[in-house]
Amino acid sequence: MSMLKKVLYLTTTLALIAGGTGCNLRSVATSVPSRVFREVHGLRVRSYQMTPVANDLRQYKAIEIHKLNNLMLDEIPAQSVEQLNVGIVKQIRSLNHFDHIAVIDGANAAQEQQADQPGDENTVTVLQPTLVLEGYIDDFTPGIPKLRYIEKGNNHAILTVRIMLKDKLTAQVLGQMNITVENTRITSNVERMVGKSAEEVARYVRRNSTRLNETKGAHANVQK
Amino acid sequence: MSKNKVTKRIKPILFLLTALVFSARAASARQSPSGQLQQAAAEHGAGVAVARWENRGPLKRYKGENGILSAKTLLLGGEFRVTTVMPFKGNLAEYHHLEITKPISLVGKALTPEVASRQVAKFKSQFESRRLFETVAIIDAYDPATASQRQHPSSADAPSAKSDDVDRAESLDAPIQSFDDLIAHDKRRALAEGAGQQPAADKTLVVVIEVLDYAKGSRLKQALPLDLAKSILTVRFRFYDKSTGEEIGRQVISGQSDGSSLLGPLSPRDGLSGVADGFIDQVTRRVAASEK
Repeated sequence: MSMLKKVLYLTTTLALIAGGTGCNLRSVATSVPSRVFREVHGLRVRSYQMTPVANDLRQYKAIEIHKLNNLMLDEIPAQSVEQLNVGIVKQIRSLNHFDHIAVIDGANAAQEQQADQPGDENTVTVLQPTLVLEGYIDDFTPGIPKLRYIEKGNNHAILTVRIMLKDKLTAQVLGQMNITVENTRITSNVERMVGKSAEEVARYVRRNSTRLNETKGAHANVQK
Repeated sequence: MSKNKVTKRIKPILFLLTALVFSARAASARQSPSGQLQQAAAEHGAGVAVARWENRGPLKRYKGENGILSAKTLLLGGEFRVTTVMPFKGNLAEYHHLEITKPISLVGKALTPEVASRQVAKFKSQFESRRLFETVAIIDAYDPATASQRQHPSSADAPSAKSDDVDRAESLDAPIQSFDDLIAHDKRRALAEGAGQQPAADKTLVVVIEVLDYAKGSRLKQALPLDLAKSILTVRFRFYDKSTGEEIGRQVISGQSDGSSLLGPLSPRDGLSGVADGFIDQVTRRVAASEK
């Protein structure tokens, strides 16, 4: 009787192990396509046009870039905020569209002006139409990499910024955009996501300042 | 096996099942707030309706939800994450009224008024079913600046002048007064104490909702193994004390459903379900902690 019990116990254990392994193998096998797809397309952008650009912004050859207003407070690391602000400036400089670029820190706007062009910057900005770029950091999470390995839970990294283009003289909002960058890659890191956000901000500025914007159909760009 | 033997075996099983059903119903009546209210109403007779919505008794046993990974999210999906940007200040149990503003869209026209109304209606209905507050109302908008402006002049001038008068009249150096004056002083003191307690009992929590990210998603595309068309909703909740206009907490809650749960794209849950669960859970666990 005891021998029979032992055999039964062993068989059940083996069956459970085999079943569990089979299920795991199956789930791994079926998740391969989505994992591969995610590695390629895992860095996604969703952008929403809040105020469509209606004016011709090609006349603006000077831009003032304000540091983003951080609404996430301590929930976003200081180095990520710095990377984002520096990245936006770098990307806009690389557009080679603006003759004059000034970077302004929100805390002490007067002192922190750093102009690209030598000379009297204040005179330059007053004389020519100047675009002001400012915005907010609305959402940030670094995600949970360990959960991304097992493809479970709400695990992805997210950064949401809201960007505004204004006319410096009139303070009129010329355009406003919400940009969310999501990273679902297993190999993802926050730096890459922040860099992508800076690229997207610069792309928005380029798109609107270098050509006449077609407001029709420019409401949202949700990648599905 | 003869018929008698079969009936003999079935009888105890039936009895056991019936007993189980009765005990389960009794237990659920004990646990659920609605059950308790029904019991209370029955005790007070059919004529006495339970007018107050609030019932925080069951909160003593409340355990918070894990929105990122739990049995519920594995089975049905609709997981959520909560980022507390500004930790809650003060005692949330003091608030007995809740006002939820209509969602402010920070995603342009992606959030239609119908979807916004559906979201706020879901929050309201879930709070009502949980009976955390006496009243739950939906308001169009809330401006904390006007509330603080309203509050400061009144709080700075009137009460201090009144309390000075009371202090002077009740000081030991004050002349002895008549019996009528003493009664009048007692009444004034009682009124002042009442006025001090009234706001605490009638405190209103205002929640301002800002939608940061929204994608409706597609169940058809979720069925493909390509990680497409997730249902996503990310909302920033700002919690205000209505009377002072002070922001007492700020959270970002994001819900999503991507068809990766056991039910897959057939799951009834979406991004909104996750956000609603997260929102209700966060408020409930703070009220519960304050009640304890």
